[in-house]
Amino acid sequence: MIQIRNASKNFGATLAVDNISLDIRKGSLFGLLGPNGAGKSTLINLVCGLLPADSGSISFPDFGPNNQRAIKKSLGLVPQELAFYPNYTAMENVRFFASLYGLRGQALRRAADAALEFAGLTDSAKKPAKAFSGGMKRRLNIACGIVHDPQLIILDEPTVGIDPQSRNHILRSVEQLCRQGRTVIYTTHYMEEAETVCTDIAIMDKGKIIARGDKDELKLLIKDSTQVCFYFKRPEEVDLAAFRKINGVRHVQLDEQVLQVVSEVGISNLNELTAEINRQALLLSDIRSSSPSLETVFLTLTGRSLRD
Amino acid sequence: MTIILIALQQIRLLLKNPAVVLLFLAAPLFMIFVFGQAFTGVFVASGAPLRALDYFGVTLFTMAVVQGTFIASWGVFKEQKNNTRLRLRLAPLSNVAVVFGLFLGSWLILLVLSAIVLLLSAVLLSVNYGSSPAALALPLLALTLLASASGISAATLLGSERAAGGLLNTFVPLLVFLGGGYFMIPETGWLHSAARFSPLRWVNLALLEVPRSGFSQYTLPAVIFCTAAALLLLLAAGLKAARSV
Repeated sequence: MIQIRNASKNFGATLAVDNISLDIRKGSLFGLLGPNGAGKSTLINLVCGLLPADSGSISFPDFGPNNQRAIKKSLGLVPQELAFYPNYTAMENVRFFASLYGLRGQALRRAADAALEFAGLTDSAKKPAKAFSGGMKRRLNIACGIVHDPQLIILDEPTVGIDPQSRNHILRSVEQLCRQGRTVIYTTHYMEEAETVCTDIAIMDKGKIIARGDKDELKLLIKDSTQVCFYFKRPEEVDLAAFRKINGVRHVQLDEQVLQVVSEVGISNLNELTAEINRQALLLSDIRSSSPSLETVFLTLTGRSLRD
Repeated sequence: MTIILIALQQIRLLLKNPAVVLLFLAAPLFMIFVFGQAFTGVFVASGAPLRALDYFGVTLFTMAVVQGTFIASWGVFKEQKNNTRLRLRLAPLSNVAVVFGLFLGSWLILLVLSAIVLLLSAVLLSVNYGSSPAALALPLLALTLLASASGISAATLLGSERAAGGLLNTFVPLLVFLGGGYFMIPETGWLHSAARFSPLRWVNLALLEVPRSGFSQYTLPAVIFCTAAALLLLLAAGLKAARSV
């Protein structure tokens, strides 16, 4: 569906996309995972033709060369920022954006109804978008992006800043789009979302793809690591540096009340870790040995948290 | 078809913002009334060949038309603020068609709003615009064309609302001043020479002559000046749009 070859994009001295090569298969639900500023949105803009690549190429083999119009018709973007007319009703918005793709009359009406139903906004079709809640606005943003029935749908961080109910609705909708045979590119910095919905994942950091595969393949990248989580009542007292010095410890990260320690497989350091907890007189509430997540993969590969 | 679609969208967008429409309609009527009343004595004392109300009826009306540049650029920047410009860029439309659609929409809006101001000032304030509709309409059509083209091209060429606003806020009052919008430009001297470069000067002279002689020696230069400038600005905006991704 999409072939990206050695694509690079600079913004002044900042290399936003650094020599990326990627194939995205037709019908896949492709997750682009990475922290804010990793270059995901720039890569998306290159794919959509909103930015020219400084070098390399992005092609759509199914459409043949120089068929920009057909590519544009088959592409639907749900941008990170809300992109609709706040003074218009939901129906007016989707109808206008569908009409840009040549839909008229009955076809336009059907497409608008279907898009609003998909987004769960049928009952609010005649309400002005500015009166919507944050979650409803996000869903309208999706409806506007898919109303012309594109085959390739790109969702750029569609769940940022919304309530869990709307988030679940969006995740279910994304899976539904893929089941309907569409190719979906889903960018996020929430690793749980990528793990839940994506069949194929690329992890991006500092403009580069640092890992690629399905979630199990990615976790195999850190098969030589184990993870233990310590839950503290007063996490502000934790001295991370002391934990980092313990034999076999690869990465240490404190996320709210949870101290996440990634260690090498085969090195038994649990006694030393608990001894350090006692030495720091930390009030422990729970200990769990967890299987590595994509967050752990990112932490191990980059030494940083996805939310850093 | 794309151009008409975008133009209709621009009209709808403006109608959804009634404050802009009301301001455009009310401000010139109020100013014509105030200036017309305030300067009546001055005009009578100086033996001017026309009433203060008729003079300011024309010059403040054309000033309002030129303020249409802001309506045109407002439409472009509204698309940017809403991020809907992004969707227009993603759709299978040519950038040039989008720019010309935005222009057509703002021009049609300006034409209708100008006609309403003209009608209201004639009916409510008794401004005498003469009895030759064609002599009145031709310079006005050209001026609305120029106002919309200026707004669209400033927004397209400069890209930033602040830069376009700064440019328009500098040039529009200057052109209005040279056009005699604030006071009568003397018939001699450097100000008279400089005023020749303001399209508004030609349009005002042409319109002020309509009640006395219909078409005048100023009509054709006014139409040519405004239309040529508008076409040049549109060409520049179109070229910029064609080159953008």
